[in-house]
Amino acid sequence: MIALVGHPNVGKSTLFEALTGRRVITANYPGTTVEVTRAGGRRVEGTVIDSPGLLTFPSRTEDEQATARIVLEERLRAMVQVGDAKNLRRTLLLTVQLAELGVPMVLALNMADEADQRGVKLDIGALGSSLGVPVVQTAANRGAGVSELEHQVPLATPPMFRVEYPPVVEAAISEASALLPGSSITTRALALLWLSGDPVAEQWILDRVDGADADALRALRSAAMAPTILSTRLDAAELLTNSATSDVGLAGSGLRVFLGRVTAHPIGGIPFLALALLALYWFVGVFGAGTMVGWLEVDLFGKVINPAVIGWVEGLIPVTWVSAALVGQYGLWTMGITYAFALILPIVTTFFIAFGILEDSGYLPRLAVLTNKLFRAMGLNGKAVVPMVLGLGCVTMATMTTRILESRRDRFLVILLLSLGVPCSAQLGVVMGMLGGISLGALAIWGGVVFGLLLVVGWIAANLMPGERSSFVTELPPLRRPAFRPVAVKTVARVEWYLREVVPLFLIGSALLFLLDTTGALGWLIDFSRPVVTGWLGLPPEAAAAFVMGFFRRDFGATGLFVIASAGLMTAAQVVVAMTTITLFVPCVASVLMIAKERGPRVATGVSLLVFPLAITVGGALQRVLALAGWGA
Amino acid sequence: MTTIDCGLCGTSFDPAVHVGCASCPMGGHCTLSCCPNCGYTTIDVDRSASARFVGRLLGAPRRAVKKAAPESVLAVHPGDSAEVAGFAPEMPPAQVALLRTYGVDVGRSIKVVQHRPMTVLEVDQTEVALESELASLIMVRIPVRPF
Repeated sequence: MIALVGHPNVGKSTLFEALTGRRVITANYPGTTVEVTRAGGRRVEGTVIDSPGLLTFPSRTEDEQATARIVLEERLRAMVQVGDAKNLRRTLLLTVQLAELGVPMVLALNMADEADQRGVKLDIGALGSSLGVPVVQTAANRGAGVSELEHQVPLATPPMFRVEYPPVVEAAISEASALLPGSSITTRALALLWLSGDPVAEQWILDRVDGADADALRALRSAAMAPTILSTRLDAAELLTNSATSDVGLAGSGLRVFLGRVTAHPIGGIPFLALALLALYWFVGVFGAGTMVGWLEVDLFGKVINPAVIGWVEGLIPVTWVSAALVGQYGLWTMGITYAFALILPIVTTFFIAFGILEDSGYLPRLAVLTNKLFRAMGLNGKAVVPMVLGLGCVTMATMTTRILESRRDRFLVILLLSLGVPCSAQLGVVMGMLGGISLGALAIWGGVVFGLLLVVGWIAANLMPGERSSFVTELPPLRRPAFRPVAVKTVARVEWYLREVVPLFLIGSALLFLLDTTGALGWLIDFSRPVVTGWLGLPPEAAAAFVMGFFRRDFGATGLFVIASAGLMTAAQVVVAMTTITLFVPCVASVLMIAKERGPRVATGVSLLVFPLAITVGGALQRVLALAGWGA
Repeated sequence: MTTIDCGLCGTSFDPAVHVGCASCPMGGHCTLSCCPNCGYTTIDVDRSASARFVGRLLGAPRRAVKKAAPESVLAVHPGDSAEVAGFAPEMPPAQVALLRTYGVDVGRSIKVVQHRPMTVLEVDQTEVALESELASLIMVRIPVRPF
């Protein structure tokens, strides 16, 4: 087994893809990889593991702890440390820690092209000699240096470099080593993990030693131990850096750096944000949901494909209910497939392209800086903006990304807010497309209500929940011009994921609606929900069916509402109320299952029980406000 | 706290504490500081917006002065650099370790990019963004500029 280990956002997943051929979604911000991915090496022998980013030991967050577990529990044949070539000192700080593990390793200094552009001059020969391991320079996004890395992995040897700690630490290492159980890493490394307070190593050790030894080990630790260990390692990294760099280069300059600064600026950043949102609205709302949906739904499916399929099925299958199940009002083809391919696919594809460009540009961490105060108002750690923004891609995956948050409180708050009001790309695309078709004002009302509710619920929840918010520290990666290939590959991967996930759900939803309709239960359901749907929300009774679809996925329900609105059965105000209500539903079945997996069934049930009534309440209140204001009647 | 050196006797003192001369009615709004040792008046560049502007315009070399007493990184103007002197005791050890890992460590030079909406520090080839509460606990020595 070969593990790729390194800091966040240094290109581990890109190298993983190059070595295995397995595609992993990557982006230009820290925290994209929160799960451990394994795949057979295509260009190296054995299984390759892509680990979440690890800044340093001791591991702090759940994703870092996943990497600590790999190091501690897997029998690694070799380890490839992926480091940022232009940040050698920080890279080597982790190298000196990994070197202690005694696992054969190779150091891949990635982003060598950026280091070169900034004038960083590296002597990798000298570095390799000092560390006693092969050192390779790579620019994984261009494929440069990957062949050399493949060649060096089988030659990996246990590092010769060893940090000498002050006598007090060395004495503690010796004493601890006598008490520690055997492991796949050196006893010295295990002792250092214990002394510096790594939570994963601590649990692993306590599971394997008796009470007396545990007490003896605890007695060896002191408050000053971890800072002393860190200081010694920093000094060692500094020495290594000085011996391996003839020129540390200049911090970036030029247009890219200027744009990087302006986009995070409190005043300069606002026009950029407005520009980005406007471009997103035009590309997804106008082009995707307007022009492309027009071509596909009206011209292709409406005039060519569906009439042909309906005629063919009705001619081939004489049993009425069977043909109705396939091509009727709630037919698998006429509803499930048509919704998925003609209505939603063009919208999500345009959104995925736009989102991929934003991700790879490095703009999202700057958005985190810009919006930090808003998240603070919700009682959230600013780092929470990462899963919140990722939620715009996929709420289910963003739920998993809450692992990068350091406290349980933050994780719960983000999951609650993600479930309540952060629409995933597909949902956002559908909503933007439909409301954009009415007016920018409709879109603004929807956005204002959803965002306002997030603020209010976040503020209340933060004040009700015990614990303090943690402070936000993040690295701002350089702004980069997104390359065509990664964005295209990522878009295709996301579209594939989307179709795999939603088409079965759309088909199940269509089949359920067909069954409800055939058995007469749909009419009963519409009658039963009439007080809520028509009375409280002020919508036409047909909207009840769309809300049933919304329980599967918000975008499925939104598409149903779109069809009702297209038939002229809803006013502008009713469309805004309906879209707002369905946006506030729990995102999809998959996200509820993910919450249950990540935080337990109680949290998943609690969130669902809170979100659905709240969505209906807010929708009804909005209907009354719009009626009072005389908007969109 | 930033200190300046008296141009006459060389005594280091805090210009914020010794603003103007005690007997001068304009002392409170004056950009001159009186040396507590000899009474000689020295211009305090940081109190004069126009002097700061002209100084930057001319690209005047920053005074590589002696080490001033540490103060919070929030006192460093965007675009300026300072040397990290330490961390306030209130800063949690985990945050100290994190910042040190990023390169914000005692004795290292950092450049302040901005303070709002978050403080952004440039260290080596990295930009690190952090909230002001945390930034206020990073103590730095600010090189005093010559005039």
